[in-house]
Amino acid sequence: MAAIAGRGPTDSPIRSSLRDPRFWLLVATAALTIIDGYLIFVVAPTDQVLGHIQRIFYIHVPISILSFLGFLVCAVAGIGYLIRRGEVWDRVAHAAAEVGVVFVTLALVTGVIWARPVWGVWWTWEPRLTTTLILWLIYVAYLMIRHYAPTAQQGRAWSAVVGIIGFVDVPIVYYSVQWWRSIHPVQVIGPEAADDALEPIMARILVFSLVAALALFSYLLLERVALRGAEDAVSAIRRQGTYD
Amino acid sequence: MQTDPYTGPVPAAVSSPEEETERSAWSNHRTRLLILGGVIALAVAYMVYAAFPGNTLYFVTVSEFVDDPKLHDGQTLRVAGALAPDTFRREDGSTLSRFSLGDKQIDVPGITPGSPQMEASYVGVLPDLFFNPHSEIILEGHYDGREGVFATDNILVKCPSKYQSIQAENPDLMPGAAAPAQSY
Amino acid sequence: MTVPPSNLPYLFAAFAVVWAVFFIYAAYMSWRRQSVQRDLQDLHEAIESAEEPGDGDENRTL
Repeated sequence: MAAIAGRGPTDSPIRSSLRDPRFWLLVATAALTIIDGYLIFVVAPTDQVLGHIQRIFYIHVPISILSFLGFLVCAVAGIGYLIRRGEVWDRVAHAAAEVGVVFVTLALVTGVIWARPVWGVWWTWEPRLTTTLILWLIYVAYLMIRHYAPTAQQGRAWSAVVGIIGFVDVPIVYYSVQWWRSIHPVQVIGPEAADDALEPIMARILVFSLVAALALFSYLLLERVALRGAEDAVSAIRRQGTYD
Repeated sequence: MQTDPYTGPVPAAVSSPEEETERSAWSNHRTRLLILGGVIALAVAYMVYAAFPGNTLYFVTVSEFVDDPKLHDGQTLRVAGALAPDTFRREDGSTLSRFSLGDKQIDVPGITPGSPQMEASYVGVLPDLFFNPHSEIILEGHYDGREGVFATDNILVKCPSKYQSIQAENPDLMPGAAAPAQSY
Repeated sequence: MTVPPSNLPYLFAAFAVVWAVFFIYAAYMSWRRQSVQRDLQDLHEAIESAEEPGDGDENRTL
């Protein structure tokens, strides 16, 4: 029952949160986000072709990459669950899928808002956008399967399978701009990025934004795992209480 | 003992599907899952179809379009290229534009010298970056055989994947700066 | 050189949506975890009081 860190009657809420690593992660995330906002809006240079709207880049790209990380964690934890059948594996996989869906949703939303003034349309059915929307659907299905499966056990196993197979779409999304003709710009980060895709100052701010987004992602993931842990503890006690 | 935690929410929370409710829940849940799966399969199929209509490519280049008479039968498709210099025409107060596209040079503004050109017409407001020499222009529409032009329904602008600050003074990457910007 | 368009409303809209969604998601999880933990504490207390002699039986529904 580590998820519900012991809070004795004499312990004030403030003192107990000061001992909680998630609290400090939240503080770090807030600080990094404020600094990142300053870097994006004040320090980052204006793009010569796109103008100020190009600053969306510094959240659109990190958010997209962290959604990939979320689905990677989901797939790995899903494999762990299928092999070991441990509750903790399932908790982590579930939390990572939900946080990943939040991130990929925001990647789509920021992309749509960026596309309208630059491409001239909110949406177009091109490879990068289409494969990303499929990624979103796969992991929304993951969450719905957990909800609709006949038994909780089956929900865990089936969703683990979806989470593992669904991850195949992540490299397809990443390489879609290489494999097919696309309106989306090619990669600026990762194995296929061109060395000179970004000016040095832009690349440094992108890396900082990635760190800030990683802190936020970690906080949300840990918080979601803890919530699942507490929910499981309550339902375990309730089940025991009535069946005894 | 007014608020006994065991009496209120417990029966609901405990109606665990593993137990006696299994049969009815099973068919109910299975129906929902089948509907869910069907909707997702249909959605994915539609998206793949929409992404690659009749063609396995999101767009064809101007020279591919010019060289392939099969694409001139009025089918809807996308053609990508760059605005050919000095071809843009629009009457004052009119929204009808006529212009030509040529093949876009890779990583360099402007059209490939000597590439074939395609005449196009478009009614509507042009996107902000239409005249930017860095832009690649993607036209959605069909070939109008009678007029001999590509009738454009939508214009999309593809931008370079390299980002450059305004302050960066790199003459090689800014040939557009040498010639006066086209303004219409 | 062509002057780039500014499109500031789109830029601010994107950042506002992202920050709002993250804030709401984090606040919702934190609120929900606190309420679940309160439930848990109530359950523990109920179990403890149920195990005290002479006070237990009427608490059980099953």
